[in-house]
Amino acid sequence: MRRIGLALAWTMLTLSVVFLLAPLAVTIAVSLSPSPVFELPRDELSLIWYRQIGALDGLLPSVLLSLEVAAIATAVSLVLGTLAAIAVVRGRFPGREAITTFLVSPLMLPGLVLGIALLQYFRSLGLREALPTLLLAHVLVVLPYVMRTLTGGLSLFDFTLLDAARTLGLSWPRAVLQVMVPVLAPSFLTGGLFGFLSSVDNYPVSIFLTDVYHKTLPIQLLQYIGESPDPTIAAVSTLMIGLTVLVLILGERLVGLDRMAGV
Amino acid sequence: MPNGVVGSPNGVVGSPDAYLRIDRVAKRFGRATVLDALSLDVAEGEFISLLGPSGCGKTTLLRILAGLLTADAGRVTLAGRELGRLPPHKRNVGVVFQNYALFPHLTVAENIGFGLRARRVPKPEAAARVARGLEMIRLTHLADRPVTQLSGGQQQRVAMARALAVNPALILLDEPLSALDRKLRETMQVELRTLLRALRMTAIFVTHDQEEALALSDRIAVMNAGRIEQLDAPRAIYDRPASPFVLDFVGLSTTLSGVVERVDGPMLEVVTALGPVRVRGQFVRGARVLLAVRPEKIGVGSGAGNVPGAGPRAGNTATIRVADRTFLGRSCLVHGVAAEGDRVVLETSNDMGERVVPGSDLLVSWRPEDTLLFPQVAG
Repeated sequence: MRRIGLALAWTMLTLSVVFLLAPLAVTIAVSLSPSPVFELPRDELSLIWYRQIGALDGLLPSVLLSLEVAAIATAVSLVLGTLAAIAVVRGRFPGREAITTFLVSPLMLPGLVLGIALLQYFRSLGLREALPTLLLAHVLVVLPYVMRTLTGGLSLFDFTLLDAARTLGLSWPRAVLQVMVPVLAPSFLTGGLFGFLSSVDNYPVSIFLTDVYHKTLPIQLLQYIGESPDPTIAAVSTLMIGLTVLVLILGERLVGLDRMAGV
Repeated sequence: MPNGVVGSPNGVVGSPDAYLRIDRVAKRFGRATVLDALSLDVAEGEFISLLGPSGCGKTTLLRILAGLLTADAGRVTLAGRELGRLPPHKRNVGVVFQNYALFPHLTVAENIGFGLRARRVPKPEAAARVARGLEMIRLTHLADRPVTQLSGGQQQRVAMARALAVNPALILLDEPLSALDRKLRETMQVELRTLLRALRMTAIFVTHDQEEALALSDRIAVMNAGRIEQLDAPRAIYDRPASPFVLDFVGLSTTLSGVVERVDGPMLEVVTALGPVRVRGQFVRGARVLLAVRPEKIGVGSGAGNVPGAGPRAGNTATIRVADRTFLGRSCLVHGVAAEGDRVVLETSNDMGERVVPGSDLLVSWRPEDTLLFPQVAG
């Protein structure tokens, strides 16, 4: 009985992993195929689609825009999220739970709803510029990740450490910088990283707020597929997979993935 | 609290050259008075324990001394310098926290050197002082370990070394041994005392463990409800408690309430549940008093109460019904009940304890001099 159960569990696990990894494998394979349509390579590999990337119109600006928006939104969220998390974890005021839920709620809301709501809201405020509205919206996208990991990290943080640092000769701000920030580094890194990735990745919120001159990477990619569906997109995707793996390896080296996933 | 007894509670006027002077320090949290105009003078190199139940204000006082809390009123001077509203990092007061508060992201050596780095001590000197600190706590071989890998006793020692490394003018210890198991705690008590003596460090030690306070301190301040009930040497605290609170908090005793029946010069005769008890003291006839005797002062048989040279009626004797015995290792406690339900506890040798049968009557005696006397608090 036990062995059957175990075998079943392993089968499920294998199937899940295959199901999750197959699209990645297919994408990478397609990007290496010489065929001009989406097709798995048969007998020879080619890097032709990677060379095509340079010829894509407007790719670089969209990559830069996405990185810029994600970086600024993550930085702002880290500051705001940390302060909010401190207030919620340390403070004694009514409605703390409600505030936590509220700040995490964009994560539970369909992006489409959030996008439409923000579009109408910004319009009614007279805010029509693409960049500021994108930035504000992406703060909302990133903040829940930061908020969640930091409330977790902070609720385990021993604030006596700050007292100890102060009695040892550090002023309060220096104690925060030299003790609290390094101790909470895994939370900052995890929250920041996932927030950053979800911002780069975001389509449903961004689509309502971009204009002709400001297209984020996912929007630009979707447009390419509509215009000329060739494996260049697969090549771009493969590069992004590589970048993500690199970031994860760095995270593992710096704090350890188990610690990052733990908070 | 009515006070016809020895002791010097609040408002102690100490010598003008006290090293640490706490002068009428008060602190309230909302409507609760946590420290009630508390004063205390500490000499240089002295080891003082603040002993009291939780909520008596001892930790609050410690945090005020460290600068982590601000007092509502009063002054604190340390080595001639008024601490006032100085922030913690400008006080040069070391603290060992109850949970040690070691920095989990740093190694043992980095923890010990933390205060030196904060004070921007030049690197070669800091390294030498960290090495000396490691040697002092005998953890040189673990210098580069993360502190999270140490045992409780080792962490405690690192916390001590970290606080001492900056050579503070005063060290505050907030129940630093309470997280350790009993055996280790006793070893660490000796180690801590020896270390602080060798450094001639002035120390204030907060604890709710009376044995720890008795074992370590030069003087003990027994605290209750934001005030110092008694400030004295450990022996005096135990032998001559200033109030029923101190009596009850420090050590075991048999307590009896009674009424003064006869005044005979310096001696009183008090009627209690155990019969008449003779005690030295000054009260008027009819006064309601509280009597107490420490367990080791009561002996089995009528002989223990005899005073050499005095008449046979000099001692106090009583018959109790034995309820239970507790074997302590070195000795044995016998618990008895007097006629009206008052409990009597006496300490005796193991051999004697074995011979006492629960349920039987036992004749016990003690000397009038060993009887402690307090006014009965109304209510």
